Order: sequence, then C-alpha cells, then structure tokens
Amino acid sequence: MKGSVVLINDINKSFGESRILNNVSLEIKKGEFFSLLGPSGCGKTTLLRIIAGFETPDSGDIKLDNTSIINLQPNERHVNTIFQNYALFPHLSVYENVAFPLRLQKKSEKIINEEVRKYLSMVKLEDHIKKMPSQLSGGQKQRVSIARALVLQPNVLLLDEPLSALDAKLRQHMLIELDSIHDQVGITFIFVTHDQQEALSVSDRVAVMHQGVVLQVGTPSQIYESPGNSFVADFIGETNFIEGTVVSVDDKMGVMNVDGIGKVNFYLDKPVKTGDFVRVTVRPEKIRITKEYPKIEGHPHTIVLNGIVDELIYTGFQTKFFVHLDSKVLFKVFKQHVKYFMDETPINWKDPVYIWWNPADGYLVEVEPR
Amino acid sequence: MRTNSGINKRQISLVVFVSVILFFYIPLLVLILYSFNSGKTMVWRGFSLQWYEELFFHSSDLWSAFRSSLIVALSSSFIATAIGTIGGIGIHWYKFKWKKYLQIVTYLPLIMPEIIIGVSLLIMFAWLKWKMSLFTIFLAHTTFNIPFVLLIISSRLDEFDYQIIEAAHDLGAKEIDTLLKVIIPMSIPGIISGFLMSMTLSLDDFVITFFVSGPGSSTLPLHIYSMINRGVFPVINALSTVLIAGTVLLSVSSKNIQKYMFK
Repeated sequence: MKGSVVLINDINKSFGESRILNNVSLEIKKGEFFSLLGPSGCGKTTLLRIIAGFETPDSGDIKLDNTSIINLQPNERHVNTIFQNYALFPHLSVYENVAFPLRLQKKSEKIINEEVRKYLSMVKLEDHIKKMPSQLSGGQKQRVSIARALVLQPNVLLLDEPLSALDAKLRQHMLIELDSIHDQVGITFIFVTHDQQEALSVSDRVAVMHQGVVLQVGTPSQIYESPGNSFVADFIGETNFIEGTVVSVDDKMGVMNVDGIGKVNFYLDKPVKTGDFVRVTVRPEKIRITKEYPKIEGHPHTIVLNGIVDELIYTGFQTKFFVHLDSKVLFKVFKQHVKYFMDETPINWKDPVYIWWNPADGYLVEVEPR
Repeated sequence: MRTNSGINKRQISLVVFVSVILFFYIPLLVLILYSFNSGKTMVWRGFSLQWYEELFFHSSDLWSAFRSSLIVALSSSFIATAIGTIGGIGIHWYKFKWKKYLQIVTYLPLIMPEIIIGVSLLIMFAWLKWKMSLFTIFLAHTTFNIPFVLLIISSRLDEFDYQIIEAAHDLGAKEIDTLLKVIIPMSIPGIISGFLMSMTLSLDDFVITFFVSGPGSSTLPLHIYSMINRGVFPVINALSTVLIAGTVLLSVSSKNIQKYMFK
C-alpha cells in the first residue's frame, strides 16, 4: 500500500497580530482523499503550506508515518504540491517540466524518458510533449503540473485549490479525473478547496475549517446530513434554521416553541432538557410544498406550516421557493424539475401554501442550555 | 468602428505618423547624403567616397577611441548585467530588512542628473588619488548601468509568480539549483535586453565619461566632440553613416535572436 499517514498535531500559526491556525490537529489516513474545506481566510491554505514546508508553524508537529517532518526543507519532504496557478516553468517544454525533478536526482536519460511518458499519458497529455506552457490551455497546464508532482512518486500529494482557475464544466471534468488518478496512484491526497461541491463529491473525508479552527471532520454525508454546528450546516449547501425553546421532551422526540410559528417536533440528535434553546436545520430539498393541507396519515409527527410564496426562482433542474411563514421567518424550499404543485396547478408569487417535512429529515444542530 | 469618423481618425494618425517619421529621419538622411559629398562644407560638390577613405585609412586616433569605447562598453555591460541580474533577483525574491530603502537607493541614479554623477565620481577618484584612465571610465559606466539592468530584470521577474520558486523547491531543487535552472533561464530575455541597453548607454555616454576620462583614454563620443571643436569635419558624417548602419543591423538581428531563442 502506497501513501502515508499524515498526523497534524496541535499546529498554531500567527501572521503578526492575526491568528491563522488555532490548535489544529488532524489524522489523515493512508491513501485517503482528504479535503480541507472552508471559506477564504479560514487557514486551510496555510495549513497546506505548513505540510509542504513553505511555512513554519509557531508550534506543533507534522508527522508522516510517525516521522516528524517539521524541520525538513520542502525539497526534503516526500510531499509534492499542485499549485493554484499551475506554477509551470515557462522556459521549459511540457516534457522538460515533468523531467525537472528527475534531472535534479540525476536519473538516467532512459529512466527519465520512461517516467515522463508514463505520467504524461496518465494525465492524457502524451500528444503535447514538445509544447511550451504558453501554448497550453488552463486545463492542460494543470495536467502538466499534476504529472510533474507525481513523477517523484511522493507519499502525499497536496492540492491547493487546483481547479479554481478553470471554468465550471472543465472543473467538473478535472475533478472526476483527479479522482481516477487518485485511484491509480493510491497515495494520500490532501485537497484544499472553498467549494463544498468539489469537496463533497470526491473526498473520503472532509475537514470543515473556519477562522483557523477545525469545526468538523467526517465523511461527506456526515458533514451534509449531521453538521456539527450552524456554521457547517450553513456553509455546506443551503439550509433553513428553525429555532426555539424546548417545551417538552420524551425518550425520542422533543417539541419546541418557535416565535410566530408555534410548536415544532424534532428528533433528539443530542441530549436536551426542557427550557433549552435549540436550533434545527432542515435542508430545502427535504421540505415539500402544496396548496392544500397535506394528507399525512401514518406520519403523526410531520410538521406542517403555512405561509405565502415570497419569491420563486427557476433554475432549470430545480425551482427555489422562498416562503414567508410570518414577518420574520423565511423558508427555502427546493423542488426538482417543475414549478407545479402535485395536482399540476402552478405555484405563483403570493400564493398561500403549506410546507411540510418529516422531523427525521431535520437535524438538531445546536443546543444552548438555559 | 469603420464609420466616417473612423476613416478621419485613420487619416489624422497617418499624417501624424508620417510627420514624426520625417522629423526623425530627415536629419539622418541629410547626414548620410553629405557623407558622400566631395566638398568640405555643407555645399554639395558631387559624389565621392573620399571621407570614407579618410575614415578607414587615415584616422587612427578615431579608431583607437572607438576601440576604447568598445572595450569599456563590453566590460562594463558584462559586469553591470551580472551585478544587476543577481541584485534584481535578490531584491525581487528575497525578504530582508530595509529592502524598500535599498530599492529606492538603487533606482536613484536613474533620475539623478548625469552631471552630478560625473562630478561626484570625479571628486571621488581625485580623493582616492586615482589616475583617470579607461579603468575609471569602466567603473563609472558600470555604476550607471547597474540600475538600468536592475530595472529591466525586475520588470521581467514581475511577470512571474513566486509559486514557481516554491514549485522548484517542492520538486527537490536546492537554492542554487533554483537560481541556475529556473530563475536565470527564465530571466534570459531580460538579461539580454539589460546587456544591450547597457551597451547602448555606455557607447553613447558623453557627460559622465567627460569627467572621468584622462589623457589618452578618450572614448568615441569624446573624440567626436573634440574633432567638432576643431570645425565640422566630414569624416564624422562618414563615421555616423557607418554607425547608423551598424545600429540598424544590430537591432534587427537582436530581434531575430530573441525570436529564435524564445519562440
């Protein structure tokens, strides 16, 4: 099995007055596709640069397979980086760019030729070997930089927002290719991105970062379905928050009183006492919308609320409804394919509607004891 | 934009273009024409190559001044390019204390009047009790060439991302590998332009050279000036024609060299 376990232990880093990383610890498994996800300025790139050796942390340690690498120079670490702006050598051809690290190791011309061709064909660039970087498209440049970083057979590949300079279609395509390259080489990938879709679609696990702190580490579905706190819930995808004071609790479910709406059921994903302030997240695509009061036989806990359609946005594959429940609460409801009710009459602006969901589709994200 | 006003704009720019070209080149054409004059004054007396004969066979002083100019230009450009390149890379890509002030200080000679540089160098050499010679001219030229090379190199380096240096380190390069295999090759077009610029400035310079030259260490511009002091001398027309031809040839070929090297 190739790849390394990466152990990030209690890393702290400040630039001047501002604290960039705050006691960051992570364990990344051998051969894992691991993403660091967060908004810009959350410290994810700094963490990546510390692993690569371009920055020195104020305190903390990085271990590769139980060996500390924190005092090694970037050129001494078995870790290679894919840069955001490709960082190709402009004076060298595609072939020579990929051969560069091998030439530094004084490999024979025969080995260089074999290796360069092997990795350039892995990224499907065998036909562009003689071109200069200036003659390549953005996607092709990124492929060269991937081949160049893999040719040394590192234990860990670091990817610093590698797709952000590409257009949306190409980004999707490259993402799938990155995934298949990961399967082929089998090494550990650490992928930095601010795009939650990128992170969710290819990662084995994701760490969500915010203001220098790791908020949650988990599989994409854990992160999406059971967000660790409101920031994660809000940052990953779109969501509705519904919050209120707990009025009663039994062994599986609780009831909260929400200002302007009334009583709402929720599952006890965390321990809760009567009187606590709770916040539940419900994804817009899990809420249903109808003109008539819904038939909900067999689902006694279903939450039904009524409101007025405030805005609707047609995006093709999905229609987004913004429903006002009262003057304060605005709910997002997403519906696939069509902008019609189930009885095929269209929903219009200002229509009175019922929105409803199963409490199992909500997630209790925060509890503040009172 | 192919409207009536567009056509008018084009006509206006054509007129401006033609007048500028005429203004630049008529004096040169007159000079070239009179280099073939058989008379000694500005009155046309018929075609002759006598001034070229004079130039090539009876002007040893002038040729020795020309040789001095070449020696000074080549040596000072070489040293200035080396120092300017290393300095440009250092200022651009390394972090150190007082970097900002160093940058300002290095660019100061670009805006300082030449006469001040000339006088100050003269005073310094006098204070050191150095005899004025080709060597002092070489030192002076190297000094005023460095900021130009520095400027050209840093504007070249501005086009590149620091990530390229990090990528080189990441791929196993030590600092010296990065310098020799990445930074310098990447800067070659800048280095060549810096060198050519230095050559031009050095061959051209009159004011600074005037202060730091001594007996027997005349460069071509100084020599031409001293000849003109003794009255207009048609040999200079012939010499100028030769120089113009040389310059045109050089600039065309340098374009081609760059095209060949960096395409």
